[in-house]
Amino acid sequence: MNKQEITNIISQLIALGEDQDELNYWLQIYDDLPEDKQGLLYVNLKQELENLQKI
Amino acid sequence: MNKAENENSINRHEAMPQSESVEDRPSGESNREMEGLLRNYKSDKVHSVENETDTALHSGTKRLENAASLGYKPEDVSRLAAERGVDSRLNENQRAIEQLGSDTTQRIEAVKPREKVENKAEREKVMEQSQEQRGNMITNFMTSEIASNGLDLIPFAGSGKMVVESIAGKTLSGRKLTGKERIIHGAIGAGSLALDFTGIGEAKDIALLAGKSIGLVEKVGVKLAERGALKSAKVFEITSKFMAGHPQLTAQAEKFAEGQIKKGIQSIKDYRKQAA
Repeated sequence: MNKQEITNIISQLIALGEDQDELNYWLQIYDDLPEDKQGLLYVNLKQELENLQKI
Repeated sequence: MNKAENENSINRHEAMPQSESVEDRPSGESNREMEGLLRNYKSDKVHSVENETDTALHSGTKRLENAASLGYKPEDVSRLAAERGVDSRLNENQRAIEQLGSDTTQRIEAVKPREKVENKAEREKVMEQSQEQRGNMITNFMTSEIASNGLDLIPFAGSGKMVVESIAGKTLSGRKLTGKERIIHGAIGAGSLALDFTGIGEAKDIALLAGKSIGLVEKVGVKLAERGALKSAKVFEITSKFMAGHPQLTAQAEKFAEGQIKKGIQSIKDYRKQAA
């Protein structure tokens, strides 16, 4: 996982109607989170995207 | 076509055009196709209503023209129409037909695909669950950073976590928190650990948090930076800016947190009284 990948997921989530403000916050803090939290955030966002794409 | 017939026509699902391939396609694509079909169907129906309305509006005039063609002089037709109130009835009918046409068109336009509404609810549920997980993550992170860097400043150690959790709670006035609110509530919960409660125990009306939470979160960030936890400090700094960018949500969260903290203080005082 890298920042570009997270950025890409977030862009898709915003296109699907997610809150831009909230997701930009996560993008801003991403680099300063410890690795385990970055991993949790990545899984959370990716899972949300997959779930939304199924609907 | 009367109003009841119009309603039946609107609700008649079997009249909807169907596509055999829709079910075989991915959900998003089939939804778009269904929306397109519904849009076309509605457009056809609106056109049909306009034609029906137009026909109905002109049928009265035709009857009068027919009466004239049967041998009545136009002035006789006009006189009879005036005497029997035919003109005013025709005008009333015309207005009623126009209104019916307009109402029917509006009802057709208002029809939304049921599937779309259900999808919206499902989408919102997915978003809400994900936002809740993220909110819990940032609350836990900020709280644990304070604790692990020795900044557990709350004077009633052990109850801090409970107070933070109550502030970052799942609901506000009976409704679930939005993603933004979860971030702000979590940050205020963590920031409240830096509150200095000394000497405020008896003062119920003192504002603990109103207008102070952003400063508190910044303060924690500065203290973390002083202790060398620069990345964590940056998260607190970004979060305080996020809060400043949403003053209304922050003020609401402060008010809620204030109540939770005062409840926490009271419960500690009660516990101390009982212990004494």
